[in-house]
Amino acid sequence: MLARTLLALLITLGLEVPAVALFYPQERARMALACAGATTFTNVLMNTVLLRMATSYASYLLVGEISAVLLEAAVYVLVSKRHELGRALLASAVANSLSFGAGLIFMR
Amino acid sequence: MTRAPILVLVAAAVAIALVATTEQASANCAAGDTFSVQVQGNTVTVCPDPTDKNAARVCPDSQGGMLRQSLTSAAVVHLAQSCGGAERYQGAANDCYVDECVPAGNYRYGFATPWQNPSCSTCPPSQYFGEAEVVDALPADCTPSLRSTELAPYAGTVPWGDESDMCNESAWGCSLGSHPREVVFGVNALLAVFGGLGMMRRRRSR
Repeated sequence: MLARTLLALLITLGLEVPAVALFYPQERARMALACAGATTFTNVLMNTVLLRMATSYASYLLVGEISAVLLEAAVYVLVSKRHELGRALLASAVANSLSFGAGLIFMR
Repeated sequence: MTRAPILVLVAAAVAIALVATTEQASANCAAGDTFSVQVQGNTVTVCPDPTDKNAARVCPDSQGGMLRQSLTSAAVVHLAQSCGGAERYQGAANDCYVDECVPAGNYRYGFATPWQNPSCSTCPPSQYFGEAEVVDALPADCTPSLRSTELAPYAGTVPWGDESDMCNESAWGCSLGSHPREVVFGVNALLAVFGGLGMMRRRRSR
């Protein structure tokens, strides 16, 4: 279980960090770090706390994934220099879609 | 040592402990019970792919066997217990259904008695059927090697509708609950659109 979760996290980070950095051309390193931290937090939360609390696969997926997108966007708004909500939402949605899609393919 | 690294180490330790103690059943439930289907010419090999490899329902299935439904004619036949396929798990081979001399068309293959819903509440749904498209025209002289009789029409009705995912009971209902992945992508797309519009609006106002 631990190995599987770590693999999922590595795939997530490998996709989301560069994706988010692309949306912040003038502060790539800063936002890459913010993404790494936020994504790790939401990933662990989803694969531990939410997994125990959710009562169905649909609940787990919907609550977990949508919360992750919103939480990570909030972090990007706070950490970025210009605090742009639009950019943060776009970056988070695109990055999470990439990792979610990869998860569906690779983690079967 | 400053406080920040200590906090990071503690957080990492807590995370590892949480992950390590999360229900073992979840480790076996990355995917629901499903079928993998391979088409070679006019032969379709259907391999039941259960989540729990130790409780496999494979060929020959003792709970009613496997059905083939034609999407062209809606005809349903009961597959013979013709088992084959390469070694997969538990050192077992020949545990896939091999359907020979299949005419060109689109088909669904599934158990007459479907998989049970996963016991793990957060496991992805199991699937009623796997799909196959046979492109090659059936040669007139095609002779199956694994069976000697024609396939019998199935007298009952297939246990599935148009959805391959079995609906797990959830507060989200069957339609939404059966398509959580699509909903996630849809919401992400919506958020991306809002985000993009927000960015464009901000640029115009400068």
